[in-house]
Amino acid sequence: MARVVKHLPKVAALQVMGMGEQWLLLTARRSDNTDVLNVFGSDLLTGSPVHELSHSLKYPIHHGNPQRLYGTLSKLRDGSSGLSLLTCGEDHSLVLLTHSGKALWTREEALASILSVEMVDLPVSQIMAKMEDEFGTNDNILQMFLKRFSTQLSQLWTFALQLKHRLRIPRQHHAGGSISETERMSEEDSDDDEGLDETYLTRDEFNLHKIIVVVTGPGKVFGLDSNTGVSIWKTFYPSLGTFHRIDRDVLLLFVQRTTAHFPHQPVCTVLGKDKVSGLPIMFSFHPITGLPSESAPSEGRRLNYKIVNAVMLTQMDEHFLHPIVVMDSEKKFHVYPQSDVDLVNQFSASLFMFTTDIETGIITGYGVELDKKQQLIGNPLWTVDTNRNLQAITKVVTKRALEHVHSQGIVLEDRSVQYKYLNPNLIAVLTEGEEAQQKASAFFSVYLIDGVTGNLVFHCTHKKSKGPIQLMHSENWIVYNYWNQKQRRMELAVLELYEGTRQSNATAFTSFHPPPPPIVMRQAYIFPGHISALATTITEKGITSKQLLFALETGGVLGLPKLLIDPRRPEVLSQEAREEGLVPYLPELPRPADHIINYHQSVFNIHGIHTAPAGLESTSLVLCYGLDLFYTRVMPSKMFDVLKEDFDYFFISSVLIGMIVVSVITQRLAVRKALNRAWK
Amino acid sequence: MSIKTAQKRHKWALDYTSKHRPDGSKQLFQSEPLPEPLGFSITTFSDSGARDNNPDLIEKKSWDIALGPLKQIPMNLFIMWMAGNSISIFPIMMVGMMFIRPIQALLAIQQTFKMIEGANKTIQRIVYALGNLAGVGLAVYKCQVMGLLPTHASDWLAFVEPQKQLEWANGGIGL
Repeated sequence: MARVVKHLPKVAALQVMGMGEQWLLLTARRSDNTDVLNVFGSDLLTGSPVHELSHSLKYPIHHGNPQRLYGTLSKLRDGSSGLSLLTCGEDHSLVLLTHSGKALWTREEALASILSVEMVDLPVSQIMAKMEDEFGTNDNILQMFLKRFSTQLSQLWTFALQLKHRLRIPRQHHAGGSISETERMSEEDSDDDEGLDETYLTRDEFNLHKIIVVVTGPGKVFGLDSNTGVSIWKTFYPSLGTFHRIDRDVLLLFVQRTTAHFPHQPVCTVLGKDKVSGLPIMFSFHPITGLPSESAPSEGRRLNYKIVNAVMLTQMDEHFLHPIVVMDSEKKFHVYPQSDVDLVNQFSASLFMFTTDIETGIITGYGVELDKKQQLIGNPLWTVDTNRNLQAITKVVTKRALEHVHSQGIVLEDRSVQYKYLNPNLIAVLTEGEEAQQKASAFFSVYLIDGVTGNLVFHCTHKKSKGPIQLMHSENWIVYNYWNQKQRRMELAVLELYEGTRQSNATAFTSFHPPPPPIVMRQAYIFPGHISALATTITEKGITSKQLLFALETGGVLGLPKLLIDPRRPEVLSQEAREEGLVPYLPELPRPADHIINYHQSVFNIHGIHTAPAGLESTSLVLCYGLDLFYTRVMPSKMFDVLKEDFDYFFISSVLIGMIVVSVITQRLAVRKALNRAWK
Repeated sequence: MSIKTAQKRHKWALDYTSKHRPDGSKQLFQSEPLPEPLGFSITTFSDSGARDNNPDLIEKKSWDIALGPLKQIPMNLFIMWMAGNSISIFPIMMVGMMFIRPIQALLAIQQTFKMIEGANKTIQRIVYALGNLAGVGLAVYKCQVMGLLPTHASDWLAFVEPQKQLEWANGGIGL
């Protein structure tokens, strides 16, 4: 029978260790929300303190409380023993603390359980902000002129300073000489000596430098610098727990306001579940500095109802903030921030929300309405029953809100257009099941449902196929991969939806008067290898062709152009197909080694790939996260919008100026000669 | 005429060309020139025959000008057929030329109209204008055959606006 020997209040972690014949008890306790960790060692049986083990060590508050301790004593040069303490913190970090109080090294292992990622633009520099400010106000002409004058003077001054700075750098370079064109054109700022001075965290020329806001499983939020991967800020929310969805943990991250609206500060919000009460809790913070947002409480806003769904609207209020609409278990809607309720009331006629209940296999769609008390309430409009007895819903995938489709159709060989079926509210639902009678008889179905009316647009079933299935839904196509049990190979299937040669409604898409059922073109290929994550590149305007990124289990991330995964690929190449640029159909998808975007670096156990648009249209930023992190820029159509590095500015401009000068001179000479001849 | 020969006047020199008498004495008045041979009259022949044919010739010339463009058309047809339907520098140059010539003629039409006179000048002017327009039409037809005219839907695809979103549906698996 066990009995309580000692009561250790407020101790976060302890360890029993042996030193010679003695058994010692090592306890660690954080003193009252400060950076200091009090480590106390005592004899296990007698309780008498052991002074060599008792220290106050610096343990930053963003590690939370230590959860495990591993201490060792080592003999120092002066004979005494020094303590080395390895602590596992609440935030899944490993820190080696030494008796001198310093941390020898820190490993943030929370980055191995990233749940949500967002890439946030950096703010523009003060000068640019001032320049943009002048367009917002309605001063009179004289004031605007003076403002413009002063901003341009300060621009000139910073330019002169920059020139001076750049002319100083060659002295630090080895045998390189002057600054080459490449350096002048590269978008990185060269003063990242400390890494954190004013100019480093401002937007660069092509908006490629971003802050990657990452929300991890233990409730720690990091702001990573996309150029170096170093975390610029870290915040630990001890009460932030995760939601559980089927087999994964989920934490929702919303970028409510970006840095594009100076002087309003950008706001990011994390929505999770309180570890203690189980009710939702929301934290808002500034994505560039990591500090809590002014309007929100720093301990988080607790919601006192269970929520079923949370969504960020694409509409902005007058402060350029996107409100978050949360649906609770009683089908009532709540808006954060509260002041935006009027905005949502305005839009309520065109807002719809759907929820999926995994246990019952029913998807219900609600329309947002105002009830008698002027509160937002959900009115059930449609349900889809997927027959839980046969199959279970595993994925519900919508399109990304910031995706922009550039061309509305595909040009066919006879110069007509095949218009794409671009339903912005289309949901792809994936259900998996097993037929009990035979073995090796798993099947899955893909349903395409309109999110507003519940209309089943398309449905297909794959028999004798098994998961785990990765599904990607973008523009007018859906790509998914599965394991074919009969042929024992991994296959990739694509669905593309087209309206036909005539657009039924050229101006707007409304699900209440939908276009006729789309033409669905399908094709399947054999995929060489197993996929652990699937994503597609995304750009601001959608002009660049898309590349599909596959995280392979062998450690590479393969980027295949969408051209290869086109259902219109013909088996026999005809003249028309060649004119349209279609590749002939081959069942195997190639895996060229030069399309592996992480060259020789291997990343394993990738749970997800996040892509974000950059300022350049040709570039997409990619972050693969999982056990390893990998970040790169992908250019699916090569870099078509940037001049190449060895562009000969000097040569071209000198030739041009020379030509102009020569033409003016010869014109004068010709006039003079004609005049002289007339006088002869 | 040098002065020396005028001074050296021989007594017996016969000079039929000078104004002075053979015996060297000046005359007070101009003597009449040598008499004309018989049957010779100095008066120049005015083109009285042409004066009669003038309106006819003007008419002919005006018709020539008016029908000029129409005569170019068969030649242009042949050049077009030779140039071919592909998009390369030679056909494009030919099409460009075929375009520019009638258009320049149309721009300078006022001056050409001044040259056209005669009884049927209105008809001739109309015919000239129509001939040039036919030339332009031929160039346009050639463009159409080469596929340069934006007549199909795919040519206007870049201007098609994306469809406006009227409803927003969001959600997912329940939390």
